[in-house]
Amino acid sequence: MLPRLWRYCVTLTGNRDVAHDLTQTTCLRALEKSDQFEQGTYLDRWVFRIAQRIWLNDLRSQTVRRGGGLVPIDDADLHSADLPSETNIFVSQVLFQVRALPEAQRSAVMLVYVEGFSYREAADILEIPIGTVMSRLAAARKTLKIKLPCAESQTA
Amino acid sequence: MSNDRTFSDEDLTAFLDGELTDADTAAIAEAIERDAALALRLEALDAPVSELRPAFDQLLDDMPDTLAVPSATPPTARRWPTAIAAAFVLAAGMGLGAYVTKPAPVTRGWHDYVAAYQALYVQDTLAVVEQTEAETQAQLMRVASTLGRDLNGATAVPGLDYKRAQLLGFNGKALVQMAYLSETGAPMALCIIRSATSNALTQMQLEGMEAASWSDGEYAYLLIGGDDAAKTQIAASYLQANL
Repeated sequence: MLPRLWRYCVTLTGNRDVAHDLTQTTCLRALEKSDQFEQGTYLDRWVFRIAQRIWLNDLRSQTVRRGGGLVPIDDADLHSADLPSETNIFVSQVLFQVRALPEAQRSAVMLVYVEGFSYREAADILEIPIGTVMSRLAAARKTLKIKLPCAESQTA
Repeated sequence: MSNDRTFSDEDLTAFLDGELTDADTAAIAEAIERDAALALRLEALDAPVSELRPAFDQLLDDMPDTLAVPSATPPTARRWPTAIAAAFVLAAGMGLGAYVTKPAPVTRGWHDYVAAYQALYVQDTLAVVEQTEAETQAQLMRVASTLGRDLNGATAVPGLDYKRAQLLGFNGKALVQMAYLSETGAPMALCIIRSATSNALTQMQLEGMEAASWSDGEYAYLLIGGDDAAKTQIAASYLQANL
């Protein structure tokens, strides 16, 4: 669960240092608010929602003020040397193109296509209407369709 | 759905993602068969999204060690894992435990959080901090302006080597952490948060560390770290008088 949260924070913030802060703040906030966690609900959705709130309410504006805009993750950060070489190019492309999506689309894509949440669950985490999740995913799909070659043509 | 219904991109997206009812899924599947334009629109949305999860799973292994779960490393070889992992393990444990036992309401104060955080510091955490005088000064100014209080008096404490200032947060309030190394290499921190309380200097032990706290009606202070009560008292008295 912690690596998943960290991965979401990295993709959301586009910056490893900020992601580190966001992950840390999220964990501490979750601890502080632990008495508000409803029994029988899912911890992961609750924690992702906390991360999303902290990002929107606090960290994003600070980050934008500090850096004059979000700083993209260095490509080097995402090219892991120990990835199998034949998958490396495609994996890098996938990560790069998802990162290049507008932030609103990126968070919806991460929650639904990477984390496997349903539309309803993603809407609850992002605290937006389900129709908004759908339009963000539709827009992201159009972009990714153009930018990402089909997987079949990748497998040599 | 009637046959001449127009489908939005959102409908088509939900179709591809299996988020439609069976009836709506069937309606779109049937419409695609006879509507070439609709089929093209669907094609334009048919990105390889199933490839995203395996690609992003490669990132999971990429998580920095500083976020790793501390129980995986023996105490003697403990690198600086930050409060994150400890906090998270607790949060996760709480979450899982919630199914079997009703968790007691958590009423921990900021002292407890600071102490838990400070307990994870080792000498090397601060020994590697190398800042130029200009960086240190700019950092101090930034943190002081957020807190709304001058902090210059806290950088030259007898017996403590000032390292850095960090802005943290507690319950939506700014919490400043000034970090030091003692002469014996113990990591120490002075933490300051806004508070209307007014309490005289009190010494205590938190998480096995010596600590001293006081407040002045505007801010509350906690000096924590090391195991030398006398030195903590001297430093705390100095800070109370000079900050």
